Amino acid sequence: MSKRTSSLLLTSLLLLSLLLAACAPAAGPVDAGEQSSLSQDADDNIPVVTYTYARVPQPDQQMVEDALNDIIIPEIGVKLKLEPIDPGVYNDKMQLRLASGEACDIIFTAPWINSYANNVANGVLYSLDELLPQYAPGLWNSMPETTWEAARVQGHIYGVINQQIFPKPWGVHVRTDLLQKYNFSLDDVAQWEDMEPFLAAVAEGEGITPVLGDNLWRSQYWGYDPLDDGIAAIGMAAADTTLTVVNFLETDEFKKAAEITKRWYDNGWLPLETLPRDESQAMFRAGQFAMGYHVEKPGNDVESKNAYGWDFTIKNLTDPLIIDTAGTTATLNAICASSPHPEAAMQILELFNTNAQVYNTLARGVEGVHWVWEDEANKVMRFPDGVTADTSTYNPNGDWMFGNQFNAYYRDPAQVGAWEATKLMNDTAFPSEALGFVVDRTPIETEVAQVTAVWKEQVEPIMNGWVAWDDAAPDAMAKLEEAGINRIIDEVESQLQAWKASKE
Amino acid sequence: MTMQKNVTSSNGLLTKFFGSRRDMQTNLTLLSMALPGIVLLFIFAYLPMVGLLIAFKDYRFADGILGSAWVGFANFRFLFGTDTAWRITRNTLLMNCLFIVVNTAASLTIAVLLNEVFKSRMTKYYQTLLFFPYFISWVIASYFVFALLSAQGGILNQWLDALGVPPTAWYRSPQYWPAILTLANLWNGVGFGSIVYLAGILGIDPMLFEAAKMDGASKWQQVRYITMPMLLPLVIILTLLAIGRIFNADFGLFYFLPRDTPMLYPTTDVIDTFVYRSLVQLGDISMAAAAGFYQSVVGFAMVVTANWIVRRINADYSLY
Repeated sequence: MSKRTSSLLLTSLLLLSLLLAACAPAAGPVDAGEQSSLSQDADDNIPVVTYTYARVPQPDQQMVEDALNDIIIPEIGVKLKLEPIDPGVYNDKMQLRLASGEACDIIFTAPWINSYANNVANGVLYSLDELLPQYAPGLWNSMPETTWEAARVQGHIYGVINQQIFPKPWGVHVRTDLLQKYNFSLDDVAQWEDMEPFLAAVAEGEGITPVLGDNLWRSQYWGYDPLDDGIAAIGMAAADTTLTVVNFLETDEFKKAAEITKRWYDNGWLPLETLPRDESQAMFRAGQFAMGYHVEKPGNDVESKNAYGWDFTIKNLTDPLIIDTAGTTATLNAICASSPHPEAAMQILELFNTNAQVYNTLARGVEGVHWVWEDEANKVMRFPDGVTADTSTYNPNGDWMFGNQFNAYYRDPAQVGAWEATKLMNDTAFPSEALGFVVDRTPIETEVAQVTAVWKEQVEPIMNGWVAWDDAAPDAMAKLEEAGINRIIDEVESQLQAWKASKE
Repeated sequence: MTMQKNVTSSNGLLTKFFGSRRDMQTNLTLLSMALPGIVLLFIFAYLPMVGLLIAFKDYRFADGILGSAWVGFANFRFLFGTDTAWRITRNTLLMNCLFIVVNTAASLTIAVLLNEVFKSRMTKYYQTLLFFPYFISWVIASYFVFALLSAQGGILNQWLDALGVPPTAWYRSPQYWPAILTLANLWNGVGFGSIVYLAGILGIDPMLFEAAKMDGASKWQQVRYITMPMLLPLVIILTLLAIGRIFNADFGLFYFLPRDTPMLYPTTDVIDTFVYRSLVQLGDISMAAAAGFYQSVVGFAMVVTANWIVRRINADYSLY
């Protein structure tokens, strides 16, 4: 063997081993994961449907999945596989997955995470028009046609609306112990400003920042339908029969919200900067805040206690309640266009929404392990003895994500009747003149991108009370116009008129 | 003789790339050793270029890259419709220039100082201490910075408070961030840079220094007339390489340290963070691709220009 050949041989061997080393670890697990999650189950030869949603994976995930399949497989002959993804990365992961064309079955989608509108525009969702009445009659009949309208995009329904609170009762949840200590009653509180004497007293007496929050601009509180959560800068007065689209920054209500926020901020009643969620939650638990504001739906006192560990008194400050498209479609479960078994997936969604046992197992875990009955007649459950929200091995804490929330068991005897009260809110809320209208962003994509950037940079500081409206608004207004807000307003307005005409 | 000629002419293109057949035979071993690198370069740098098409299409996931509709330059409109393109370009260039100048100056100074104490047993500790931040991820560093600069309970504001200076909301004051980012980048990179230059200094023939000492040159004169001129080629090459990457900002630094705060965008938003935001916040792959494409085109122009200038000054120092 000549010297050159032998050296060549050695080199090739070296290269080969390098290549093998580089490839080996990457190839294995990817294949394995893909195989098991989709397509047929090898053992039983029944379809496997994967449900991908935005919750932190729980220690007892597998136990709950098995318990669910004990109910689901005999019922419809479909196997369910749960795939929770941490909410912090859910949006990025799902967008990447959908973009790469990786198959999925049921996914959680919403205007605010894993965007429903974007997913529809990208053609990754399966049209449910025929599947719904055929494979999920119970679910289909559980909501009136007008509600389903809200999920319709260009004539087709692509997502199953989770029945829950539809209007947004923006209000306050306040620590009960501090209300008593400072002898303050929420009965007379009708608007944000009415909280001020209490906030001043708490700031003075406790030496803490009283309010956990960023700003007081909540469009429904001020009587506006936001039309599209993805376009923060525009909306429409909910009662406006002429369907006139407005630039929020120019409205008196926005100015007022900004001024109250600035006053609260300047008084030291709001945090100095936006806090990371985990940090603010820990601070609230440690007693560094006295109140928060949120959608104060019936039963939110118990949910807030679950999150922050204090007893809360809640009060809705939004009057009248408005029901709009964004609120109705706030949480959706959709079926992927790439799903090999859309029918089976629809059957699963039927169970999520109509079978209380399936729903509660998914949302709360296994009876006797993760929860026990407190009062079975009234459907009240509690954690087993010695278990709390923190130590529970299955507490995804996201009832609103999985299906019809009115099937959820109550967590607290105090909550009994909350679902009836919520349903009443849904039925009596005043429907926005634009309920059922969905913005088609295709012709204004560029402007939306530009306006969103300006909104975040120029308008949010005004909204958050960091700068005075008078100082910053004129400049921001000019920037918004430069970014094309008027083209957005014109386009949305003409879409609204066309939509109205088509209804008549 | 005739045969050889035929081979060369029929394989004209191949010859151009790989040299004559004889060259190839001689260098077969070396060429085969370069093969994995070339293959990887092809896979990771050339194949994905097909994706540039996305910048000119209305990309829909369901239709795929080739199936989506062509839209010409429509995706570039949102870049140039406002002053966004100008701002991210300016930030990227200015901040990177600042980094190059500050880091090179600091690294050189530290390398010279380290060289003076090189025989001391402490040198290894100094080097490790300086080098250590290089291995800390920006995500972690962002928490250090937040602990330092947070308006509520931040260390810096507490110090300022103790000195009687009113606290500053650092995360809402874009004017301070060029300095903050430059310091952070220095903290991160100076250890690496100084070690490279120290190696350069150690490579200088000690006889030069001995001769200078004999002639009574001071420490400063030795640095000025021996160390610096001898290091110059190294400085130029490293700076050129840095200029070649001047259009690629360090994403981790610019994204995590300012915590993606919209109010800081005027000074902290660079092309890389902008592309990322367009992708995840707008969810519009085509617009993000357009921004990325813009970055590539201008970045390419920068490299070519920088190299051309250097070649004009001294051809030996240019990269190609």
